[in-house]
Amino acid sequence: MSVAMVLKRGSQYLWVLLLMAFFVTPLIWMVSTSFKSAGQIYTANGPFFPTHWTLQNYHVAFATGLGRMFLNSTIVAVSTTVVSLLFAVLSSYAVSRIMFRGRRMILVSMILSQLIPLSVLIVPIYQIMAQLNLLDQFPSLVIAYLTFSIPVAVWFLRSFFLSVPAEIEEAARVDGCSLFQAFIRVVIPLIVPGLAATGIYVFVTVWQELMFAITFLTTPGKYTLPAGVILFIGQHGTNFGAVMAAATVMSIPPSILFLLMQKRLISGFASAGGIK
Amino acid sequence: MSSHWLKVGSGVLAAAAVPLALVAGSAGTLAASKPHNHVVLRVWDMNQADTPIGKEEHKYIVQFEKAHPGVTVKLTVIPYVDYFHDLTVAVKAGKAPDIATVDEIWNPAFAASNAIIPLSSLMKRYQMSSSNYFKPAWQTTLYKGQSYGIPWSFDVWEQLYWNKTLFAKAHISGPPKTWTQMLSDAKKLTHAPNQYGLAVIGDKGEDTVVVMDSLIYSNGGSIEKNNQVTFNSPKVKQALTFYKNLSKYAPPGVASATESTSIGLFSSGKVAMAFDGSWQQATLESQVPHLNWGIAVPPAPTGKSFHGTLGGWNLVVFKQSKHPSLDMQYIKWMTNPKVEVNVASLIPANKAAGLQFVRKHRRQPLVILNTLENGYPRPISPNYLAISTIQQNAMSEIWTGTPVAQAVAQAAALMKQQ
Amino acid sequence: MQQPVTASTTIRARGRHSRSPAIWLLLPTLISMVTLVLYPLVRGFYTSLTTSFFLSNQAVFAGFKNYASLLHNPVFWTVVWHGLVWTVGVVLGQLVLGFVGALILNQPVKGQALFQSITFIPWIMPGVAAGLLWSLMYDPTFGLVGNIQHLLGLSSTAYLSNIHTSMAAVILAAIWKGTPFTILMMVAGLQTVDTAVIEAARIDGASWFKVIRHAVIPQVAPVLRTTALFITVWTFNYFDMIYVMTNGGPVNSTQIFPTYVYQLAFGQLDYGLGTAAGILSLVVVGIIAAFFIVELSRQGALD
Repeated sequence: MSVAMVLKRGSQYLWVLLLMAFFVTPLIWMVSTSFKSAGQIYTANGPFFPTHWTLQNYHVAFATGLGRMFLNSTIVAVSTTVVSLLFAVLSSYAVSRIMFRGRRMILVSMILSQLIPLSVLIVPIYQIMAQLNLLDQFPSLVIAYLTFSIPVAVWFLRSFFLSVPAEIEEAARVDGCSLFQAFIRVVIPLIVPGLAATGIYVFVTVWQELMFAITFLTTPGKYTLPAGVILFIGQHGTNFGAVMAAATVMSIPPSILFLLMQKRLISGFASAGGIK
Repeated sequence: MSSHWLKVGSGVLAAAAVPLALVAGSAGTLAASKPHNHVVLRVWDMNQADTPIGKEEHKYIVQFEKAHPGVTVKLTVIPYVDYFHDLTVAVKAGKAPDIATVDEIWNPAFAASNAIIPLSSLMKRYQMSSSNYFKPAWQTTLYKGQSYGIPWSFDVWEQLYWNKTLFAKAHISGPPKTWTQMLSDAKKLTHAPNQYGLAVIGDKGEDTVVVMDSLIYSNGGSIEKNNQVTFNSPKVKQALTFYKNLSKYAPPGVASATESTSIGLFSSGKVAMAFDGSWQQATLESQVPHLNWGIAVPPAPTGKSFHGTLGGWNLVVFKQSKHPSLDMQYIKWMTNPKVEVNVASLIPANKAAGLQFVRKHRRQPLVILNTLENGYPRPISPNYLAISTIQQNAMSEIWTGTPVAQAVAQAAALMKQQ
Repeated sequence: MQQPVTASTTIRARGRHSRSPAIWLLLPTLISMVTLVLYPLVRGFYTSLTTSFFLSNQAVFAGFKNYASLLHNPVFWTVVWHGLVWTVGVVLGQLVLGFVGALILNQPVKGQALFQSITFIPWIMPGVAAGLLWSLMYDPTFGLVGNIQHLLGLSSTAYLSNIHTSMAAVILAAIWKGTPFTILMMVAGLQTVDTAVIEAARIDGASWFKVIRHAVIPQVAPVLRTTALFITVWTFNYFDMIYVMTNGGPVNSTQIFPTYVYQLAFGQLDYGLGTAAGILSLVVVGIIAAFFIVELSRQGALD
């Protein structure tokens, strides 16, 4: 290796190091705090790492139902992802491939729907859920989450549909496929990376949603993770150790999943960004 | 061709129902239907911290159900931080429970907006007497002369926690008795940045308002009286000036310091004094067992006596309930001293139960009883939440340098608009 | 005005009847958006024209009284200003750091995949948890920031409790939380960049900065624009972090629309006033979004 090469390598790692320092330092602090006792957390200018490692915060977090909440969040996030993709893939195909009047209006209104503050919508949506007898049940969340997952998913998926040349579809139709058959057999397989990327996007947004979760769910056994974090904020004090333990549990496992799916995801997001 | 699309479009709606139905199923919604004459009492309560109080309550609920065949009590316990939001959204959407615990500062607003019912006649019918409750707790249930709630638990927000070790090191014999003493002690105890005289709560929250009120009450001032705003007075200005002066001997960050920060600072030994309620005793005992601390009646201006700010929870019956007399029987059951002493989240508001509770569960019970007896509630007004927000903003302004007189005058003007 | 559409991306409707597929395909989406967004919005708008006390069910029609009282309230204009500062600060920060971060993480270094996924943890973490993490970090006595200052021998500063620094402090936390999404989009975008153009520029002796400016940015511009649009909208309405970190304080120094609307509607239960503030916030963010939409339309992204 030449000196120039070594220098180049070195500077590359230096940049990575700087970037990592910004993102990782708070995370290490979080994990380290999660292993400190309350006495250690409340030590003025205490050491970065615990002097005595304790699992107390994890005990508290799991005794409060963190495991159950993890499961609840997974159920809600997976269901929302499936339902949104199902709805969005069809609509997105329609707004990408079929000429009809009002198409632009639909695309724009999808963006506009994202501008409305939740506080305006929440009481009317709550009343709808009450009428449907869905309060304090997961479907109320899944349905409410569609308000923000579908529009974004339609937009993301649209760029994938646009990247599939229409010739491929037309060729299939010349071979005797109906428009519908061509869609199922030819187009869908081509946008699988797009579905994966959009799906992960929806999953992640649902995973951290707070407002609907705390409004609709009232039985602690049904809480999702963000609603569960609230349990550690008491009227007279916040249990920071337990919050950090919960935060560690709710962010590390999904990231591992992310690591495993990364390659596919990144090629997926490339198209979602509008690259044709 | 287009019939395919039609099938797909409507098919997706149907298909979407499958995962929805699945999650619904897993949530256990397919409960067996109850017989026709069965009554379900829907009760909401809140949980102040991550220690579940619901369990203890359940024991007594089972007994209540046994004594009242055909009645099922469905208790929903919600974390404190969500409680106001969840309860008000439910009431607003027409889905109020039958009975709920409400913070005494919300009680008049719930009454004024016709969401809950007056209980005086029901109390008579079930032979419940207002004289059984601590008087200031009872007063918070009143709106236009009628009682709209039964006090359940209450406490006073301020005792003076003091660190005996730090006081001894500074050669101060005991906790301060007057405001002047407090300032001079705080000064002696401050060795910035390693040690400070006291922790001062000052964030944008109710925990700041209760300290403001206590200082104002101890100086003989008030926020409002007989629906007249009395905030813009020299007594209030003196009290808030004292509050601001105290912050000179507190660690940086007063304007965002919460009760949680304050007790954290005290438990770490970083500060020598803090104002807090008796509920923190358990926290200190479990988190820092070696800390040598005591409590005292907080100081007052020379020649005056200390008045703390009361807080507490009342049980109310919602207008939407179809069986108010049954609700009242439930409340009577839960506020029975023998039950209440075990389920109340603070000190039971029933005198007999309250005295028993304090003697059994608290250090220095005489100090606590003294502050309880001399405590005043916050303004009992349907506009309390707006008043509180105005006070929070005024204190924020004071921390950031607005002259006290100006901040107080502005706040009083805003209160008058309410 | 209908833009011309190229035959290669769109299947032309043949005759009147074949328009129907689009309707059927859109039906599930339209039904959910109409019931869950349009209907509540219309109800919300009606509510904003009424006044009611606290939980009272008796709402009195008041015309535009709520709007007038907001527009005359200096706090409202503070919120407008803070909303813009917050949005611009967070979005710019996320775009710049996201773009630079993507360039860095796009280099072929060992452990690239691991670094990339570690970077994404903040994005996955719920906003409440991230907010609590940062408020503990900012604590002058017990937090990381206080510790660092202590080690450096500086006096500790409480960034969240000073009206001059609180906004910057919450913006930094939000950049930390949200930038991973931009990195994700930009890493993906960079992978489609035509390297031949970059090589050509390099051979011409262009500096690194010029290469980025003239060869890379134009190629990733569409991704940048879409990303910017979405994060602008999300940031403007982002509630969770500020709610747990400062609740809008001290002295409204971090009060933005979502926390303000929440405080009016659910804190003080002045639901009419809160909803009116919400509708006005929709107007403000609508104006910002309009620029993006026009730009997208100009690019042909809506065709």
